[in-house]
Order: sequence, then structure tokens, then C-alpha cells
Amino acid sequence: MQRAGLGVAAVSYDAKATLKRFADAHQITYPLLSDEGSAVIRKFGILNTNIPEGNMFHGIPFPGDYVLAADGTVKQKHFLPNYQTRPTASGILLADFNMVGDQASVSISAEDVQAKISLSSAQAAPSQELGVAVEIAIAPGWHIYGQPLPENYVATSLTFSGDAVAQQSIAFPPAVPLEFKALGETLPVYEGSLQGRGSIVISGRVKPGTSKIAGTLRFQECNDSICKLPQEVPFEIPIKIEAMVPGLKN
Amino acid sequence: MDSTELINGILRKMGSGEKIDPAEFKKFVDLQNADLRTGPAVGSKVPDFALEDQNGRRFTLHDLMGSKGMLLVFTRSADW
Repeated sequence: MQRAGLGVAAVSYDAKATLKRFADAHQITYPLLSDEGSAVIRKFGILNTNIPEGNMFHGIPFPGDYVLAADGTVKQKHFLPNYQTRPTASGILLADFNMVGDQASVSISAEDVQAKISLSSAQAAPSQELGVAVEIAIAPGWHIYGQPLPENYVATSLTFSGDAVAQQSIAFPPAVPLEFKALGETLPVYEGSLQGRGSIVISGRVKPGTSKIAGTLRFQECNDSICKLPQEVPFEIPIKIEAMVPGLKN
Repeated sequence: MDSTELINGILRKMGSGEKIDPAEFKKFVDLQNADLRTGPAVGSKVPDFALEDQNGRRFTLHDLMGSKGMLLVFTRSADW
């Protein structure tokens, strides 16, 4: 993140001594800011008021991240209903700064289409969110389809499967309407190249060690005169699942 | 059992290391996450602040900012 010109800091209601022990235990070098009394957490309006006052846990925030522009404007924020599901730094770099890493990717080709599918990192902890980028190149003269599409065609899609992926959301840019005079139809198509973006959440139940993220790219290609059979191309991306980082008392 | 009682009970058990019933814990998580507040809206500025880090160095928002911006994370606690 710092190499990318981005500052990083974390705020919690912990005392400095607690943060010092946590930073030492996990080799954290970025600032862990101590907001004892939760004045800054209150100022941001994110104090968790569900924790009763007088309880030692009163003062914690709803956990989340802000991606800030250099002038302090919120570009994006990630507050998730389940505090155990957190975005990764690499996922944020991909989603909010369009920085595609090259650590975990697979290239596939079928017929006249080549695709590179990348995860934002080659390692993740259970319940972490990773960014997904897919770059598709289509040979000249051919096109593939977007949405919405009549039933007899297959739209371009990328779907992850398997136990390691708990949630997924992948979006492609809007396709360009193309008129097929001979058919009397106008259909949304992609020509040349396109990029899809999204994210996956690693399952909270996946065991630490080597694992694979599996999925399928679906598309159908046509040119001016013929349509080929719809393609389903399976792929696998190797990934390392890390152990969860516990708090000091766990 | 009312929600305050449930939350206090679970937090006590977390503190003492006592075994927690998974169904009770699920209810606790849901209660805790109720009425989610996410602070300043996208497009608005966050308030400035000055806080000390783990090494006693004092930082304002300006000190922390990189040339292209920054990631500011709020966590529950490093302690539990």
C-alpha cells in the first residue's frame, strides 16, 4: 500500500501498551492508533451503541475501512455486517485503485477467446475478501455476448464454485448493442477486449494450507455468419490459506 | 433474557474464557451488528483527529496521508 502512495493506519479503543504488544507479536509497522475513551470513534459516528455502557467492551466501533482521497474525502468504505468478514489490502488496491497484482492468476483459452483470471492475492485467511479481475481478449471478427440476452444465446459469465468460496460477485461492463439485420435482432455484444471486476469471500470453514479456487468461464462466440457452441471453460487458481490472526487473549 | 443481559453475559464469558453456546453466540453477533452505523458518507470529508500510535508517536490525519490517499481502518480491539 505504501509503495502505491497510500497511507495506512488502524484505529481501536485499545491502550498504547496493548497495541504495542499486538504490533510486536504480528510484526506490524504501520500506525495502530490508540483511541482510548473512543472520542475519535464517536466523532466518526461509528460507536457501537449495542454494547451496554459500563461494560469493558463499551467503546468499540462498528468495524470497517475508509478509502480516503488525499484531501480526506471518502472514496469508498467497507463496513460489513459480519465483523469476521474483512476485505484484504490487495482487494482494496484492485477494487478502488485498479491495481491488478500478478500473484495468483490463470490464463485459459478456448476457440477464439483468451482470458486471464486473477485474484488480488495468492494468500488469504478464512472469511477474507479477495478482489477478482478477469481480462478477456476476443479474436478479430468474433464477438461474445453480454446481458440482457434472449434464451437461445449464452451470456458471458464467470462463476466460482467449490467449498473454499463463500460469496462471490463479478460484474462485466455494459455490452454494446449490435444490430443483426439478417436476424432482425439487436443483441448486446463484446468485441476486442473487456475487463470484469469483482470479489470473492473465502469460506470461514476452509482449513489453513494449500487450496484451490475453482470456477468456470462461460461464453458463446459468433461472427457475422455463424455461432459456435456455447463454451464452459473450467479453471483453478492455487491459493495459500493462512491461519487466522487471533487477538492477544485468544 | 433481554438483549443487554445476553450481550453482557457473552462478553463476561469471553473475558473469562468460559465455553459459549454457538446459538447464543450467533444471537450475540446479530444483536451487536444491529443498527449498523458507517460514519461519513462517500464523497464527504472525514473529521480530522490526532492520536498516538503503539510507539507513542502522535499522528494527525494529514500526517498519515499518502500522496494518493490512504486506508483508514477501524477495528474492534487487538486485545480479544
